[in-house]
Amino acid sequence: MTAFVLASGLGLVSLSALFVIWGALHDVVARRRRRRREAIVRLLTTVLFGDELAADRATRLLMRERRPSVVRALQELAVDLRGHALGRTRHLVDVLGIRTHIAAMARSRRRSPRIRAAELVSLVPDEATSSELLRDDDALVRALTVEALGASRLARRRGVIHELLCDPAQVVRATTQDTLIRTGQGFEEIASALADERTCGAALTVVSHIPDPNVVALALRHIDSPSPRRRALVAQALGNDVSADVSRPLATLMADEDARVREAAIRSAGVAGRGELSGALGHALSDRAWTVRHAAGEALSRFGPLGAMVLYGHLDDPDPYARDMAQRFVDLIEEGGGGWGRTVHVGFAPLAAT
Amino acid sequence: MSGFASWLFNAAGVAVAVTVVIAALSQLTLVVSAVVELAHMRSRDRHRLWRRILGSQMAPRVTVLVPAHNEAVTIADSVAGVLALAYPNLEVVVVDDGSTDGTLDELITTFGLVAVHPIYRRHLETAEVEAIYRSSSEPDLIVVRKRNGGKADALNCALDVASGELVCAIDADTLVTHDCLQQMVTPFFGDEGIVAVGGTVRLVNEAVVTSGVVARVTAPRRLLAGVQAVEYTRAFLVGRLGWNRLGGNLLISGAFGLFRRDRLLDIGGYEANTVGEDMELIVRLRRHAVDNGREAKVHFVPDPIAWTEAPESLRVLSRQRNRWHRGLCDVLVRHRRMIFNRRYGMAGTLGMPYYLVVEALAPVVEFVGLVLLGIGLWTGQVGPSVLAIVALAHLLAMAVTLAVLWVDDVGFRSYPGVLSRLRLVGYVVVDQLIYRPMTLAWRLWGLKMFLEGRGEWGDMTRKGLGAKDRDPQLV
Repeated sequence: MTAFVLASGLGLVSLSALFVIWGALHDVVARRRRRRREAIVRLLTTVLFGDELAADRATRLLMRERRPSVVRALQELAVDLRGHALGRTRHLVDVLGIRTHIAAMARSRRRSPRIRAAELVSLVPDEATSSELLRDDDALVRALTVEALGASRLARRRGVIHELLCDPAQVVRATTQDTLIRTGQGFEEIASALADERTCGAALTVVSHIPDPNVVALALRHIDSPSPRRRALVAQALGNDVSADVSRPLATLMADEDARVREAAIRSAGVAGRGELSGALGHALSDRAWTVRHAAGEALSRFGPLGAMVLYGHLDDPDPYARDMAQRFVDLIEEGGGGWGRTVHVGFAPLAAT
Repeated sequence: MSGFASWLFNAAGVAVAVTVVIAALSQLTLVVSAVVELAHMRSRDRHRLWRRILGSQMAPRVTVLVPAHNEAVTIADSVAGVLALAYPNLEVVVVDDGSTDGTLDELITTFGLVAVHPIYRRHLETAEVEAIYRSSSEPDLIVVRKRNGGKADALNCALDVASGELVCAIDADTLVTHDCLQQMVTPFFGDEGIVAVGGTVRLVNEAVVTSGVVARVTAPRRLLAGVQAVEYTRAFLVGRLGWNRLGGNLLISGAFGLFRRDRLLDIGGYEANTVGEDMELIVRLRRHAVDNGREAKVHFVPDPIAWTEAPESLRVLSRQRNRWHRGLCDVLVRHRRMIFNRRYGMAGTLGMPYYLVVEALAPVVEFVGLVLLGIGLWTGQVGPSVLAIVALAHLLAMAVTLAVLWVDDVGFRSYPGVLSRLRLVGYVVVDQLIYRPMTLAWRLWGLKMFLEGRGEWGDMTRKGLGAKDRDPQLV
């Protein structure tokens, strides 16, 4: 028994030694791998952005590397490039013979190769591979494909954006919205999504972030929506239109029962420079919700002398809250205006119900 | 009489060995589960896409709840740190819980606060709210001044005022990584059935902290901090990640956790009359969900996202462990209906029984056994074979702890470097042979206090994170 205990003790000591030695070796291997990966990324960067001669030399060096290592590095780089140097990247993919490799990865049963393929799908002009990835069971694969393809390639296929905005996975819907906002493309698809009750909220979110006056008319159809969130998005979208006369809808939304809607409308009035609404903005300084009062002060301070006049006028307001807010922004104007560039994105929701 | 005494001492030795083996084997099972979960999570949750989306306008609104009581020295830095977190849709609600040291004045001066209408929709009963303040320079900051009601009451008040769909409770003395919210929100984004997400809390003792960022971590040189580093690694890797896979996760550290706000309001927020409010909250969330036919998954993020300082004095450590054990006992008693109840899924079938048997009852048996074994050794009435069994049990437990450290090293490389690993090996031995019996005594003390119905928290003295630029504080 004693011998058995001693042997077990020795076993534990050996295990401990193995833990320390293995750890030290692991440190060395990890360091080497990292250096190798960095070297491949440097070569890829030279190929994509260097002059012809250097790119040619780097390509030859890359051809000596293991293909999976190159694919992995290319995948990391491709994500950050977001479409830049696409021509050279595609050429590199052809030279290294990776295109078929990507298509094979897209059909893999394992999840990680499909994820890799989704990130590299923009390098494959073949529509079949991307369609396959857009129909994948895994939400992350679908979302990555959306991001890699970008709004322009998605918009070429009728109905795809609409379908993606209806996707059951939140990550796919959010990626599609983000892609549309970043690129500002896919106008027709967004219009069709706005008309559908299922996708209306998601499409309104996109519209409210796109600085394009053409989409404002589409958003205005939802000004009477029963959902305060949608009305707030409409109000936000109105801030993107500086040309058309949106003062009347903005004034309507500034009198909305929901504080978030009022705040969004006031912010839009400030962003669009709607001087004709300065009177209504002055009244908003007495609003019950702090966020609305703050937004009104901020909007007025953007209007220059006209807004300053309104703010000065409210320094004698009988409402102490209006007086206080006016005083704050007058102080900021007199100090040189620091601090009002910041935007409150969402209102103080609990106050909305009061 | 002598024969009976001999039998008793030998039986005590066997009982000690059995409890140690039970604990070690349950930990081994959880290690295996943790390894499977880790492999799964690596490919699922660590993708950059999540962070890109969660860095965009599509990120759900998160409200960080910061309860503060007499923290004038550190509150401005803490709040500034939270406001600087890399998250695009953030709101911070600080609740001054009746401080008397000028905490509110410090906030008013630093952030230019102004009193606003103290109106909000009250869902939860809390001590009286005296004023609500907003800041012109930080529109995402709300400060609430209320009468003193304790931490849970302050958190409930913050829950009421918050507007985010997700709320994050954070201790004022916890150091978090810059992108911790993005990491924590990721599981919510991928699965709408998740109600709470917790993250790994690591020890910051002896780590290099530069401008609020943990720059370099080594295994602590000081013994007490060192054994706690091993203990934390085991607790988070095994106790959380392992349970994640099995679906019986019942604990999210009070230092850092993210929750769906509507679900917290549904269950009435934090429970004020307990010292283990973090575990109680999770157990109640799960119980309420099952009772109402809803889904309530609790998820754990294994990457280290929050750093806290472990107590380095035995007095403070003993009080902390005493309180933790009282909290555990309280939860087990309050929610005893869940124990061995299949209706509550893995939480009832495995999770609660594990905490009852391995965490709450086994220490009693083990401690009594150890005392009797000690007396038996003193009087020379313990047989060599019993001693050998006890030694083997402890060796097995040490081997399991070593396996935990190995998995941690492969997965996270928490303590790189040969010296750190050598120290950790030493701490494994100290942990099993010296530290564990000490914690047993503290637990028993906690159990005694719980049975007596004593529920005080006790002071928690810390050196302060980045000790050079901060004063010692009481939290």
